[in-house]
Amino acid sequence: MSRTLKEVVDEIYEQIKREEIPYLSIKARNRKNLQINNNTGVWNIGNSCIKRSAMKLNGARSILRTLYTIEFILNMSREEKTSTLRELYYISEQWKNGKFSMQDESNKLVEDLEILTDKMRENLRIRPEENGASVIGDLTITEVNRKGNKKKINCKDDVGDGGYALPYNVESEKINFISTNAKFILAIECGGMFDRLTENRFDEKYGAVLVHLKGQPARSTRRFIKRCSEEMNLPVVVFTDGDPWSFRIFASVAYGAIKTSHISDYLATPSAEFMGVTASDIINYNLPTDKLKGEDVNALKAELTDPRFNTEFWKNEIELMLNINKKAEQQSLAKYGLEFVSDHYLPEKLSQMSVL
Amino acid sequence: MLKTDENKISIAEFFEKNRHILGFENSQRALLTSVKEAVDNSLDACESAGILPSIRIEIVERENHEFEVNITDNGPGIDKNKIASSFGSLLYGTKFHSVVQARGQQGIGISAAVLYSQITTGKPAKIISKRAEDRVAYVVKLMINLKKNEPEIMEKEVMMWEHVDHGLSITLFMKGKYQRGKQSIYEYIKNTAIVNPHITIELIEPDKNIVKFARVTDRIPRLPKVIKPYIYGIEIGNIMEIIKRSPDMSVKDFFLKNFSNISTRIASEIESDADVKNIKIHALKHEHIKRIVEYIKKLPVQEPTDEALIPIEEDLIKKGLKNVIGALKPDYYVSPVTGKPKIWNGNPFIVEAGMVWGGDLPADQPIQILRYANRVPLLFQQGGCLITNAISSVNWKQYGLEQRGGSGIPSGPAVALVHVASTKIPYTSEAKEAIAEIPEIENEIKEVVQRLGRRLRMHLNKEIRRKKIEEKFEIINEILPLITEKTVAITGRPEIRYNSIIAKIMNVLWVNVIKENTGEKGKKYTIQVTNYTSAEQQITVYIDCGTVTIKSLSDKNVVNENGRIKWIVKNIDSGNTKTLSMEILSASDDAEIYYADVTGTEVIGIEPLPGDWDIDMPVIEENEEDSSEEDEDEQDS
Repeated sequence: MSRTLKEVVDEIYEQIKREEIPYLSIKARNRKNLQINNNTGVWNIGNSCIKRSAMKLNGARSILRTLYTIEFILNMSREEKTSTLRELYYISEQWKNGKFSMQDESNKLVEDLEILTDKMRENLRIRPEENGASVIGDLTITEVNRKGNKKKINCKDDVGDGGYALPYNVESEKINFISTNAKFILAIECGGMFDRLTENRFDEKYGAVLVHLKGQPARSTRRFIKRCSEEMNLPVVVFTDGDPWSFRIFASVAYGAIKTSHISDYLATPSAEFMGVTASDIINYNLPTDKLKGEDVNALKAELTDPRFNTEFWKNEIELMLNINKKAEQQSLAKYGLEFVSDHYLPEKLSQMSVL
Repeated sequence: MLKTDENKISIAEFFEKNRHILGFENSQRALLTSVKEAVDNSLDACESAGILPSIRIEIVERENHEFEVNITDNGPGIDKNKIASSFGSLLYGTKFHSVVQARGQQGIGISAAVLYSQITTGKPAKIISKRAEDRVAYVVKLMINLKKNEPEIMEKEVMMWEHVDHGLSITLFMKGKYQRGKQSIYEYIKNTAIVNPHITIELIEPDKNIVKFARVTDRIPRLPKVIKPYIYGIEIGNIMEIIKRSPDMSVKDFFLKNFSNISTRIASEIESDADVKNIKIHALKHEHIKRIVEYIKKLPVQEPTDEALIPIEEDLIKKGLKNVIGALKPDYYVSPVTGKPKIWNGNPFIVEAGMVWGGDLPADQPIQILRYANRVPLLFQQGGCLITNAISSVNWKQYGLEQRGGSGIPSGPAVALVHVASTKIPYTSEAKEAIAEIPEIENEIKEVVQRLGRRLRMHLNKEIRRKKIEEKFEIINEILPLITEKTVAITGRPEIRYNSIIAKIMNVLWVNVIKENTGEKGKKYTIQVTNYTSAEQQITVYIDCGTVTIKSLSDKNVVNENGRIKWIVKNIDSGNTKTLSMEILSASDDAEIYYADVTGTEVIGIEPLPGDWDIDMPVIEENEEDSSEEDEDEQDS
């Protein structure tokens, strides 16, 4: 049930008028409130709600902040302006008791407004300052530049070693996919590995579009991967470190992240496959490792109760990692030399997955 | 332990071998130990003469790491003929066998400092003493003759000690190292001042920086009585030792003569149970004594009198902490706890504890533990001390401190003080650094600090309640009006009222007490009762002002019974406030205000009427708010 911002405020008005303690009811974003869509394979937000009531100080503050933010957005739309998430955080300096104390609070509030109104934050005139990832590979796109002209870019020939940098807006009004000779998209967690594969010309040799995820990927990166995969008909393979946090990076690309579970349909690429580093790779390739820390073990255990990881593959991998009590970085493959990853490891793994 | 026959070996050799247990293992420690021994002696001497101690310590650095250390007190001084033996004898002091609470328990201390000085610099100790009855002061320079183990007077003279009626001054020249921080002379002085609020102590550091703690009370601790040991908890070895020193006699007479608080009946029973009526004590065999001890173990636990013990006492612990730690502006001084006297191994002891909470104390570190034995701070061997172990074994989480794994030194913004006073402190070593594992003492410490913990918890709960109330007021006074204002502004719809929602959010009766001072002893109280509920409410407010003259009252529904005022407030409508203003002339402290006769809602702002209101003055044991809260000048540390 989508509402306009003004309708959200109308509801609070009615509550006060009915002499009720004001409250907001918002769908909860947590591990327990995830629902799989069996048609798409994407995990979406469920129906369980949390109630923010003015009975408690935190709830009252949250309602007040929501009102200030809505007023701010409505004013921007009158004046045809937009604001970044960080600007929103600083704007709140003037908001008396509604002032944010950390940017995390304002970011979350914007996500709440997305849920309440069923709109994306860009449509609420708020944009991220987070920059998207870099792309290298034989993929030709057009981007509408600042002058308003469509500019054709080949992500192999028209870019430097840094690759093509994704803008925050990767929608069709900004970016369009023209053509590609690549066979698959390889999404890579770390910059060091992205650079290694670029230097080894892995993209050219094996027909890959390399996408640097930069850790937990930004919305635009995930959206880009989804569109590219669907529109260019390319399979997606995710290559990360072998640790519990990297498993979550994969989950956010393929299944949808908890924090953005209300827009999973928009961001997730359910056909994406996890390649490694797996716990099995650690054993099979005898990789240099670190011992799991307490927080790693807790993260793995939490994943065992995460519905997104409730598959045979993930259960085995998670339990195996807990058993060997070890984790490994992507770059640990350098144990066997700088070419090993591009000449041996990736070709082997990708043939096993029938991507090559 | 020191053995008497060790006097036969070279005294210098003995000292070298035992430097660590005597507290002279390094040059920094040696300075501290020397100051400590002198100060402990000064305090003992002043108190036994009924003098409020004033002590001045001056440390001057000379060349080659040599220090001139002077400690001067206003004590009674000593007889000129006893100066040499008091400062130059490495034998046990006379105090060793008597059962009395004193700081300097083993008499070796100050002479060891004299010896250390002499070994490291070759210079004699200089002592000036003047007694009130002497017309002049006596100056003695002495060293210890290492061959004869005797003091040797190098120089002797008389002098006029300007403006000094009585006192003692000792100057030592020793190799040393002066440092600040933990386990320093400064720390020792500071910690000594905390538990001795009756002393004035001044330290002049080598860089001429002056540290001074002035006394905050004129109460000299009463003198401990010398008592005989108790039989409770006594061991075979103790009995054998006393027999050795005693003339021969019957077992019954022996017990009557050598122990405290023992009846003829018990003495006879001991004798008959061990079947030793016809055996005199010097003829007792080991198994006889064993039977006697077994019998004693079956006797009911004795409660010692406290005449041999001098606790610091609760109000002075608080004053001492305030005087010294006040600069850290703690939020709360937990009311100190003094336990009841108990016995270990025949020796009476008493445990006291105090605690300071919040303010500028670091919240993320283990709490600071101030350990004391007979008013002397223990600065070393924290990990090996019974006090630390007892604190660590308590579950502090229940009292509001952090504690990983439910044991160990808790963390939080707190300083805990524990004082063990006893006629005999079971130190782990001669250096008197830590208290040894004695189950009776450990259990008592645990019990006392747990009582302290409960008081801290009470305070923290009160703080939580206060915070909750503050939060509620923030909602209704600030946020709810803003929410309404914004809602109206954004929707552009007509103004709406939120008053009825306030009651729903608060759902309490709030009693706000405003106190103003009017003139010297006059006070004006304004008591406002606001009904933050949806229904009509009533309340009766009780005000106890001690002996007062009521100058004015604003409400006629007030009953005055001997200074206890009862204000009956009926029919308070939802959202309404009723007010009582009252001007009184009162000699006593603040009025105590309570409520009763409220049904179906919570009251915030004042406490419910205690059950014993009609019987006596209201006393809430665990809830006491500071009789000694008067403002004292805070000393900068």
